[in-house]
Amino acid sequence: MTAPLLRVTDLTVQFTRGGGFRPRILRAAHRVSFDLHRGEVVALVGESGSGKSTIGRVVARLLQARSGTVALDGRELPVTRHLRADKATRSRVQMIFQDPYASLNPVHTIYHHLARPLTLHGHGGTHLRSTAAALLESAGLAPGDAFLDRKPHALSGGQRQRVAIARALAPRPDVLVADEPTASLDVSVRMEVLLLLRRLLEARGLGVLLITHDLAAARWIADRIVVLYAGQVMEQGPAESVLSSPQHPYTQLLVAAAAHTSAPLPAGPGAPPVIDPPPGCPFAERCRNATTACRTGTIPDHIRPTTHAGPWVTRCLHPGS
Amino acid sequence: MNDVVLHIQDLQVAYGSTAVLHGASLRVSAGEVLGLVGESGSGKSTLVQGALRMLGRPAVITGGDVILDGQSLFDLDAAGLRRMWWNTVSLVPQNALNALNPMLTIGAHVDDTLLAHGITDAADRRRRAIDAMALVDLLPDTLTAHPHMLSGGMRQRVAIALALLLEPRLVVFDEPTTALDVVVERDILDRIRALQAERGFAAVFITHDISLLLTFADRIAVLYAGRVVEVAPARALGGPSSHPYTVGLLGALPPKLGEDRTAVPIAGVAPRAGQTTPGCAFAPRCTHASPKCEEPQALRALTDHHHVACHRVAGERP
Repeated sequence: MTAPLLRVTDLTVQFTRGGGFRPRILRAAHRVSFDLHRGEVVALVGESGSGKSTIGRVVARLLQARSGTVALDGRELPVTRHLRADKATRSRVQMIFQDPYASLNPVHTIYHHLARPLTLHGHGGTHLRSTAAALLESAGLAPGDAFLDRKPHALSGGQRQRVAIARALAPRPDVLVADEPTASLDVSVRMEVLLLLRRLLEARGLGVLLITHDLAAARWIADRIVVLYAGQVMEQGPAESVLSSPQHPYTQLLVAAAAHTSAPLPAGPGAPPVIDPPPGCPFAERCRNATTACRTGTIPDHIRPTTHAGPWVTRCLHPGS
Repeated sequence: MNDVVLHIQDLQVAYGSTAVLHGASLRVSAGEVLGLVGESGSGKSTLVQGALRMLGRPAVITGGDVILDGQSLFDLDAAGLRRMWWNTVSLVPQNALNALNPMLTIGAHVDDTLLAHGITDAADRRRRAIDAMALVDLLPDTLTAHPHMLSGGMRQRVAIALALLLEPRLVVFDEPTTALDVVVERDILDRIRALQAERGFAAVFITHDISLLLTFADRIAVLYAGRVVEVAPARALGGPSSHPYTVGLLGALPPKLGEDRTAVPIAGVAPRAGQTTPGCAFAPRCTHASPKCEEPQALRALTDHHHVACHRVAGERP
């Protein structure tokens, strides 16, 4: 069996807050593992503070990890080493940010936004302008030539996000890390942007790591879903299975809250324990099924094989209850 | 439900010489939630803030009238407006962190508000402040905290407590949960409903998330390009007699769990502010468009509670 396009193993990221006699540890990600294959969308979902963006940023080499590995086609990236201009990785992993109003430079033309990465990553050549126009067209902005000399303010939010996608494609990456790419867009164009990602991934054999808090979108677009809480993977598996019959109480809570029904939720709001994290399951303090064992012991992974899209893993002592 | 608190009549607003709201009429009664949904630039915030005279220059009201609690707001002078704001109508903003002063404690915000509205007895203000926190399940300690010390959900609860401080007749919620996680959002929505049952205020809930309104609002008004294109009870929205834009908006949502359909985005882009047509602004994106769409489309009643601005749906009412 060939190595997956992206394999994240036991990834841990932490920050130290404050100094003095007792600096506090903020654990943003803890022993996170998942695979991403070519032609696949893997969604990282969870609330604020769940560590989903942190993981995306480590994969894109924008943040340094404390331990663990990230491998692209079986070759490890230096994720625990100091960040520096890591062009080799950047050309293979590109990022799309949430807010296309902030991620594009208002004083530059669209052409400038595309020409720079093309030149930097050695795809410049004499046909720079037509290459840039072709990129825009592959991102659904046709005719591409008509957009090149415009500035970001002349485009709508959806069009800007397409420019950001075209720019991410410029270095010909294998992995796109899309951090809430539709959160700042209107409802009527969100689906278009997600459809575009899906189309690109099929046409170019990319893998997309989609970071989102929108469960309905994740279910609709993703092959696999990884549910995070307090930096730990609570449950992961085929998106449809996980979201239609969630096994972990935290996934059950997210699904119930996203359903917009009037039924009472299985747990209330609460902040994930990321600072000086306790032993045991981080969700235990909010979980109505929690026992003493949940608060003290190591929680084993409960693994169920599935017929497609990899195993279904739940980290819970009482899965499905 | 006949106790009308807010009645907006044919309100028109322009920014400078650019007309952005082309005549909007709405009614909100005590004890109900009116959801106001539209995409960016549709005029939903302009409609509400314009109606409550909260917009400054370059915004100008170019027509219409607004009756709040029996009183025309356009007849009020500055002092009258100040009395009316917060006493009769209050606003819960989208991002409470930006609305609260980072230098002041929560207690100082509450105290300021009460003092400005004539509560001069310090002990009374203290008591009311504690009650206000209790209303949203916050401990009295919260009053000594600064805004940055609270979580997003707690800050939004503070904003709700502040808005309800003087027991207004109308509370406007301007995307109060957009920046919150789903579980926190649910908590805030449940609280708003419980408080409304207790206090009986009228609520306007502005959002771009139509799926949230379907279960939360009693009635929903849909805005497109500065016009109200549909007002309907939440359960009637999206049916065969809905406006094509509403149907498109609902169809563009990702399917819910267990729902068997694919999401279909609405083709084309919304007109920019100032791009006006006498006819239906949605026609260029509408799959049912016909030459008749170039004529002005007024809101017409399908039933007593369901109004649609589309000749195709509401054209031939006997």
